[in-house]
Amino acid sequence: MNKEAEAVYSPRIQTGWKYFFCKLFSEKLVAAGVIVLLIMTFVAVFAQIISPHNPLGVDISSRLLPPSQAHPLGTDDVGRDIFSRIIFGARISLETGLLVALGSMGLGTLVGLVTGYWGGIFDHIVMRVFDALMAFPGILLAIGIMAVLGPNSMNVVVALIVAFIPSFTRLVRGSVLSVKENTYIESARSLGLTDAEILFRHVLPNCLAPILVQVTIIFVFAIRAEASLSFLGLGTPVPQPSWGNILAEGRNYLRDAPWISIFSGLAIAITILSLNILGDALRDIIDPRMRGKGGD
Amino acid sequence: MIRACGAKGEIRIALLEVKNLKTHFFTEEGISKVVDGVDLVIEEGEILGMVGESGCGKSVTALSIMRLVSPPGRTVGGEILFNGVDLLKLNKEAARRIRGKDISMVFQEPMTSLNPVYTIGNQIEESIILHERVTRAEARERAKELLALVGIPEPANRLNEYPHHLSGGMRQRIVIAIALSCNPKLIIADEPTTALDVTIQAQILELMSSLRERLNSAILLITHDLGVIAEMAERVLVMYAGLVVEQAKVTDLFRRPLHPYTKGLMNSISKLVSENKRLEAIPGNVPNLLNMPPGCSFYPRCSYAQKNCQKGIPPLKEISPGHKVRCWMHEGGVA
Amino acid sequence: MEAGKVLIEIKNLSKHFPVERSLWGNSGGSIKAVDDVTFEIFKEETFGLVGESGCGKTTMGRLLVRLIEATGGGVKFEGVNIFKTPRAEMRTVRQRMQIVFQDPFSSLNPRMKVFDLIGEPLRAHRFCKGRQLEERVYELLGFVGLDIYFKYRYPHELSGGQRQRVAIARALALYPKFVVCDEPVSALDVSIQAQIINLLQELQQKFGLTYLFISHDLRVVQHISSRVGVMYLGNLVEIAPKYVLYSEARHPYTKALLSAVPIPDPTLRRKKMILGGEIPSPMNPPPGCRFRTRCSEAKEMCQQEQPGLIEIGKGHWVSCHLYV
Repeated sequence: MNKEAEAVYSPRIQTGWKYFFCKLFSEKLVAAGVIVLLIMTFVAVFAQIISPHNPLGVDISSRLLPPSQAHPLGTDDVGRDIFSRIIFGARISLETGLLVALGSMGLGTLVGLVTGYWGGIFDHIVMRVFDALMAFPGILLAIGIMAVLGPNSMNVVVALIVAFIPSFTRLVRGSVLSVKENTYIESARSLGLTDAEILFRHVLPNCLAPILVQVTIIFVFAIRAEASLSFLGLGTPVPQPSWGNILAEGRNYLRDAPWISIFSGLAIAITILSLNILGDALRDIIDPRMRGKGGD
Repeated sequence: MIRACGAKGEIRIALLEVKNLKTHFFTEEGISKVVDGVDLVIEEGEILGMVGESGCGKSVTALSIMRLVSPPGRTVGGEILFNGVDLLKLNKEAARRIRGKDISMVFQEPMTSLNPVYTIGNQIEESIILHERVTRAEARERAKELLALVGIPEPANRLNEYPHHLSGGMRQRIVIAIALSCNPKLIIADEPTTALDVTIQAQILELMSSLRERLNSAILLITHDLGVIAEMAERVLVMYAGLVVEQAKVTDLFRRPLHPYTKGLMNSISKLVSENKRLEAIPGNVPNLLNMPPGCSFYPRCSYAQKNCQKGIPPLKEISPGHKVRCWMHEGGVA
Repeated sequence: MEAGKVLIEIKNLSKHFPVERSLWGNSGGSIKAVDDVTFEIFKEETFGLVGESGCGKTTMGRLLVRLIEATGGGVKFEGVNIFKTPRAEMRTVRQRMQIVFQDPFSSLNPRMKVFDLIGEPLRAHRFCKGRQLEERVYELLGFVGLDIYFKYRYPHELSGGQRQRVAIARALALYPKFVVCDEPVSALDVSIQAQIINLLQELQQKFGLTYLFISHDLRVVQHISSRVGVMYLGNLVEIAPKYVLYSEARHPYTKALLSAVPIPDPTLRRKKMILGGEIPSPMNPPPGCRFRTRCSEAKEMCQQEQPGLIEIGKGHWVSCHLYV
């Protein structure tokens, strides 16, 4: 950027949490997204307390009941309360989303740092393997892995982490390649810092922005993927409630008891929609600020 | 035709007259008054130097004249009279016709001023065809002539080469050739040699001088380098924080700089002579254009500052023929 | 300014960058950025290194602090060849040789506060910690003329001159003997340049530092150096004490260079020695004397043999067949 324009544009860049929250709540839709996320978290954490019934409690005499005071969202084909099941489903979705996002972020970033910084044969091999992995649509890859591992909510997490690691690695590697050309990396070397010190203290912090952005994206992908897998019967095993498998169960009763599928479907739809909006807003905040922070 | 008193005291025709130009940038953090009331006059065939550091507004002044200011910047006031016509009042189409034909511009970065995917011949021809009714073949001939004019060896061969084959100095010559392609009356050169090596800079400056002699185009030479100003300019404007703070013939400016900023600038550069006195640095930094101090904008850094310098922005006053300064120390000047 | 003793001995130093074979059948030569250069830097002097693009001065700066490896020759710092020093020991040697880079905008990690940037060398080398470290950082901020208030600022909140001061403070943290200044003021405004140059001179006086001052700007080099070396296409073509170089330059390139510098004095508009042609590519330097393609006084001999550096006066060395 030419010096004169720099002088024009370089007043104090707003930083800090105040700015962050200000921006976040500046639009109603975004605020809605935040609220949904908060509700979901609350519900997931306090599921035991909030839930009116036992989500696994079978009661054949109350099967396929429409929404009522005792059962706000009705019951399913073996008499389990839908409302309670959806509450616990939130827990599964949130846990999966979080674990997958953090897990793939951690491992993917590590691999990306190493391949980006040192390159060489290791880099070539890893990137070609990841290229192959990425050739499969994420969900197919996850299905394949689940078929091998067997249906289990932990395995879902593992399968999805494996499916999403390459996207992080590629991202981080790209960032590292450009960051390591900066003069401050040379400066660190001239001070006598070891490669590891340089990697973690200088390179990584400057790659954070795209990583954070990707985490928000993967979080939503993971929730959606888990719901899809469960819907296909390859994810969270019945009788554990997941929005996806509730939706699947409801498939057979669409005429007689549509509320099973409707409410589980709505839960998925609203959650993903709001989280996407929230994610977009976060990305907007993170990205333009990076321009000010010397990410030129 | 507007007449003005020329550099040598005779009556010359004013080619460009800028009056009270204001270009402001409307950013999230506030309004940055990058150019805030600039006046200048360029006569036919004259080399006017414009000197200042980052943020002084010299580049944006040039862009304003060319009407190339893009959002969040906008020219909000003043007049730019070119041959009597106010450029700011023209519609986009008319402005486009003048741009490149009567007024052309040479930018700082030769490495990025040329499009890497088109041949050199293409780029020069494009400029010619855009403004004049000629055939492709005629344009090509003219391109060849221009390359020879700017001192490029083997012009015929060069037409088919791409910019990345050439060095910075050569590219800058091409940029100059493009600028000359339609015989402009005024060339605005914004730091044309800053990115070049010193021996190449000497070549390019020599080229610009000789071209000016041959073609009689006026040049507005913008730079931060007082050495270049001393070598090339006939008259000089010194800019600081969006305003012209001193204006004079080049010899007068160097012999008797009046504004404290000008004096400071001159003391900051070594003259390559034997004495080794300590460089007198101007303390502090260029002001933040979003948050200007009241009164004279140079006050916080001025070693001659007085309390009453903060009372307002001093007007530009003529102290001796052709020598104007904007400073409260020289308040009692010829109005 | 000679302190008599040699701090750094550079002998036959070369750095050739291999050019990879490209798809266009490039025969894979190399860029001879620095080619067989020999000279010395004395204690507490400022050795100015000037030249234009491709001359190798930037590479030279990095070689002297071993940021890049040499492909030939060696550099002795305080008698020890730094290229033969094992990595672990090198870390200690680095405490005594530092470098200040050209671009203040990219040489500081944008995510670190000023305090951390200056404290980093102290932490990394376990010089001190806690209260002691804090005091040393404040002391350094004081040396470079920055108020303590700056300690929690980020680089993007500082001006170019201020950032460069931080870079200098960082370089001084470990009490170095030798500092390579790689175009430290080229990216700054003229009025700020003077501030930084004055600062560098003060610090040199105060701490007995030795500088290698690299720049393309002859005016700045003239002001700050005690001796000056002129580089062209990987070779040193002339070395002389400052006043001698600027008044009695002998090498045709030096003369052209001096003539080309724009002087801020309109009464001195002199006839320039305009050099024809372009700087040849460092991949294919002309055989014999590398400057002969642009030299108005080139002779037959210049094509056949490369001239060596010969002493023609006290401390005045020239690499040119005209002076054999």
